[in-house]
Amino acid sequence: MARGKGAANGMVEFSPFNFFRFMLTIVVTVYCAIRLLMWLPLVMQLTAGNDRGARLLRRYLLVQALRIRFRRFAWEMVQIVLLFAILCLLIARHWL
Amino acid sequence: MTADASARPSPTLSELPSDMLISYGSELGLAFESDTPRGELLRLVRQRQELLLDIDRDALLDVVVWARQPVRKSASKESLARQIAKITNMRFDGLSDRGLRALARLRGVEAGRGRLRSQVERELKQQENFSSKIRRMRRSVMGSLVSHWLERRREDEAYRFLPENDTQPSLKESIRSQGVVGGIANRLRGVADEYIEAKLDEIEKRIDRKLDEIDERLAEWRDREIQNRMRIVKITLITAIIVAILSLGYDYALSLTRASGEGNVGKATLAHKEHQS
Repeated sequence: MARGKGAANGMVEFSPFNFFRFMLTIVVTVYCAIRLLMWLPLVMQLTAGNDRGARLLRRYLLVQALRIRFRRFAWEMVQIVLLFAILCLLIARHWL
Repeated sequence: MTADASARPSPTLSELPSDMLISYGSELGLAFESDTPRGELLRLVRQRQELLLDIDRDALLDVVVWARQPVRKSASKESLARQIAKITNMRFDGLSDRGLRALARLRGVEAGRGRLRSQVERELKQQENFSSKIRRMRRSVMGSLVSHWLERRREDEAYRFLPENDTQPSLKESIRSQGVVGGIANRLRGVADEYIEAKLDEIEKRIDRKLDEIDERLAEWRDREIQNRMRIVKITLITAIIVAILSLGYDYALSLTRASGEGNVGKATLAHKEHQS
């Protein structure tokens, strides 16, 4: 995993990029899992009920989600897509 | 034809500034170019007012009821036209022939007696531009999905007009039917009811305003949260790119070192062989 191209010769080489990617994957996955596990039961508890409050909350959340204006975030989304494309190119360059 | 004071051409129409004229005309369903001269604006607005005088009020009511716009039964032709200008529905099922003709005339489509209903409908649909059509279809799909999810199947209720303000009988009629004391007491009760109603309306408006403020703040908070999340994603991507570039440089330096090392070993072997020979 943290081996470079010379690993095929039986020589273990340390690649900082592979190491960083590996660490980033672990950190992001653990962070997402923890956040999701903390958030999901709370939301389910709040919205699963059939009483008036829960019904109103469900509707309100839906309305809030529908009212998100994607145009407002369009430029940032474009930036993210471009950065992601650059990262993909760099990763591909590493595999060459 | 109903005598409709508000639909009569206003004597001060020519005194209105151009922006007010544009806003008034747009409310009545007119579409103006940005560089329309003032004289042309006036002419078009007056033409629209004359058209409203010409169209039957019941036909306008038919359109409003078909589109389920909230109006009073006693609403003036102008306020009916304002509601009709907001209609985007293009399914004409349930709209009477006179209503369809009135709608077509307001939208500038020829709708004489001799024309077929289907022909008028087609021309009305053709008038709609592509982006409006897409927006309407998107809203229709979204509306059916959301209503299916939230309300399941709910039959449409029959249309009801907004309540009239002046439904109370006159004092003379009240006294005639309930006597002096009863009539006056009833009128006083009515006045008190109206006062309470007005106060309640005021309180309701204040609560609505507060709720709108809360809603606005929540929407701002939601947008800010989304922006923060996106910023975090961007920072992560930028860091990953920087590390990737550094790593590429590192790999390149490593390969250069390896190549120069292999070159040195090759030279040493060659020198050794020469020495042996």
